[in-house]
Amino acid sequence: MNRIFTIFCFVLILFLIGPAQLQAQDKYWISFTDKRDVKYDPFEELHPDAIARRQLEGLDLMDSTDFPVNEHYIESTRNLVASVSTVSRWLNGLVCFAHPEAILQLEKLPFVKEIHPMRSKRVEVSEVLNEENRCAQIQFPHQNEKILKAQTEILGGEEFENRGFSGQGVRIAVLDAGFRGADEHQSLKHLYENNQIDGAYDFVGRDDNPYHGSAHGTAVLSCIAGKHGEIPMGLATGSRFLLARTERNLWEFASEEEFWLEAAEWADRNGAHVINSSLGYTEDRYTWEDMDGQSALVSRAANMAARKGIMVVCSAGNEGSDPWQILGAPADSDSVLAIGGIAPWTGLATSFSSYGPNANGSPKPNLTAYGYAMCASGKEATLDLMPGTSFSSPLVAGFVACAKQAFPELKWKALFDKVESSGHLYPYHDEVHGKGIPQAQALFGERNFSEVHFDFEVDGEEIKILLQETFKEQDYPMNRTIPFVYWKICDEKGRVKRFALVLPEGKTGARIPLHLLEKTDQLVVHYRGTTKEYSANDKN
Amino acid sequence: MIALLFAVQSSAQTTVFERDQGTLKSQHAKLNATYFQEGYLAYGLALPIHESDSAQTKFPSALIAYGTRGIVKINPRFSGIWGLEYNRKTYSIAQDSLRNQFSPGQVHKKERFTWNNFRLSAGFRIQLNKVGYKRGNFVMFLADLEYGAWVNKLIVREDPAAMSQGSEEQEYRFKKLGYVERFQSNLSCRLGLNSVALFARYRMTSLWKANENVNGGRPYDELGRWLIGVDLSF
Repeated sequence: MNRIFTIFCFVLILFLIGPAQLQAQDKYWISFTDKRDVKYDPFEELHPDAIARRQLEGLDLMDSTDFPVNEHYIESTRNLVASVSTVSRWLNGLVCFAHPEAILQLEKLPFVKEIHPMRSKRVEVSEVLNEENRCAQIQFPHQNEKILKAQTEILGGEEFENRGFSGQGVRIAVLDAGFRGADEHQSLKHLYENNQIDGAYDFVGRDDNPYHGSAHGTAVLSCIAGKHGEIPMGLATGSRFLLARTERNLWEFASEEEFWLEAAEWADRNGAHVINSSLGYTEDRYTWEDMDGQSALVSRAANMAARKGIMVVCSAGNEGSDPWQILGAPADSDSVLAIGGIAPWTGLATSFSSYGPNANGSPKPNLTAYGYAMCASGKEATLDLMPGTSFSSPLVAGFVACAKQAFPELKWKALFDKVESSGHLYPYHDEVHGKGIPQAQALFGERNFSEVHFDFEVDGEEIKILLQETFKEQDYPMNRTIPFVYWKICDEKGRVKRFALVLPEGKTGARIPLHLLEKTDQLVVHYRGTTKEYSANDKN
Repeated sequence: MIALLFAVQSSAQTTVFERDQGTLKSQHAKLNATYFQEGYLAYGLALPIHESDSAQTKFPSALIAYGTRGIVKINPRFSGIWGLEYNRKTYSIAQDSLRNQFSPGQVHKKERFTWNNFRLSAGFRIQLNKVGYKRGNFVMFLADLEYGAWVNKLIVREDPAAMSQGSEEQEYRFKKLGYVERFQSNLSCRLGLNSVALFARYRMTSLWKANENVNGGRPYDELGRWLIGVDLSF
């Protein structure tokens, strides 16, 4: 018996040690205690626009998060570890590969504040990239031309055009997986001819050429600033751009988040006002509880970018019909405008658009735009209808650039709120349509539709929403938002328990079964600019 | 489950989209969350590995178990575990007139001990591959304490007296066995892939205790200590 027990113990120890040994050299995040004895001159290191942004936000130009990391700390670490892959000023630390023995030595260094292992498993490139393959090359039939026009019209593109706003004076950093063909594509030609590209860098290959790898970034860029002839594909055709490649193709070590952090710091130093990121990190690295806007490295980086006054616009994600369902990082951050996708032909959220809220219960996504958009493909002049919230995000990023141009005096928070409150559903919000589609008219205190009021009426076991207009479906062609009746039931903490959209019929907006409302629940209904609440207590 | 309903006619209205956020919670409950609880069903066989002087068991000496366990994630790779289980272990004793220690000199058609146990366990789990939301591959180690609430012994033997009544055998069931150790302790290991796992349990304690009235005051020889099997989590 003793022999068997010894064998059992041996196997047990083997199991315990085995996994640790497999990862003998792993990736770690090392953060430092301070930035003592470093030299920093903001006027030397920051673009004048980055300084102006800080001044607008009332930030100290000598903010220690902008200081370089102490070289002595970096070198001392480098001497102990296998390699250093990323150094971050914002987070005052670095990422390295190291053996556990080296980590033990590092822990003893007085300037090392914190060490924790990074999740450095090999993962597959995020789903958005694979969509390129799913997306059939299609011709340019009449329907697609309608979508092309509608993808900016629905955001109030005409209003911006009439007021002369196309994002001039605003710099947008696009963080993506590669910009293959962007410098040759007909729809982006004007950006290169007018020298609107201020910088381009490949953080993966460590060179100045991001025009290889995936063409996902090319498609995304076209939804911000592309033109098909005279038709704008995005709203910020006059903006300036920084292009950063932060993702590899095929298989990779999960270092994209570090590249993203580096690229965001680079964008900040180079005077970006807006960052668009149609990238998201979810199940390969995190649990849904990590989607709290604080845990993922990329979310912390986005928070820091927002702290520096940069508007960060991100795709909500395409996991709506996967088991994961909720949005990923960095869209989970409260400081990020997370953009969901709607189908152009229904005005409803696409089946793939990821749901909110984030793990803290913060309402997400913030806004929506078309989740199927006409985009530049990797080939010269071809446009494709591409699915994905990857393309709703840049449409809104263009919107944000125009808003920034229109209201240059607004600080980050005021601009964030102004853009968010321009959603056509505002103040209503649900967990997939957010506050709706941003409307340029709303930025200037106008609405492109007249408000319609409605009343609640308890009728037996239902609550009826009675409209003060007669709804006719034919009044709403494709490029106008169909005014569905939106309703949701929230608990006493305001968390959404259930939500729905109903197509009105005549004067009856919707009928909601009373049994769905528990005692402390609140029914919130939105119809054409009017949002009203009904408390479960009112039914008594 | 997403309740996305296009053009569903209900109460004379067209609900074009509806979602119960409660479905999100139930979806995530299946994932590798910071804390999750799962039920499981296990079936294992007692390995016929014996010490030289121990009693022989034979097929089907087995374990059937139903239980629940809670998993608390301490970091992406390491989780703490607690578990509560009901199990039924049966040991069928090989009938060998030379070796049979329970009924010396007798050969039965069947001789079987059954333990109905309640088991409390604690341990840890190491995630072997995925560190994300999928439960992935893992190895789990548990130590437990179980209490045999009902333990009995069944003997089936040929009975000439019963033959006259049209039956060839007679069953005898013995309860309140004074020589059985009701508290047992085991170490176990589970090697899992998502919801399926192979397990091995090793019994640390003896099944029998000394009883003055049984076997001359000496505990019986041990039965096999190893159980191996499969369990399914749900």
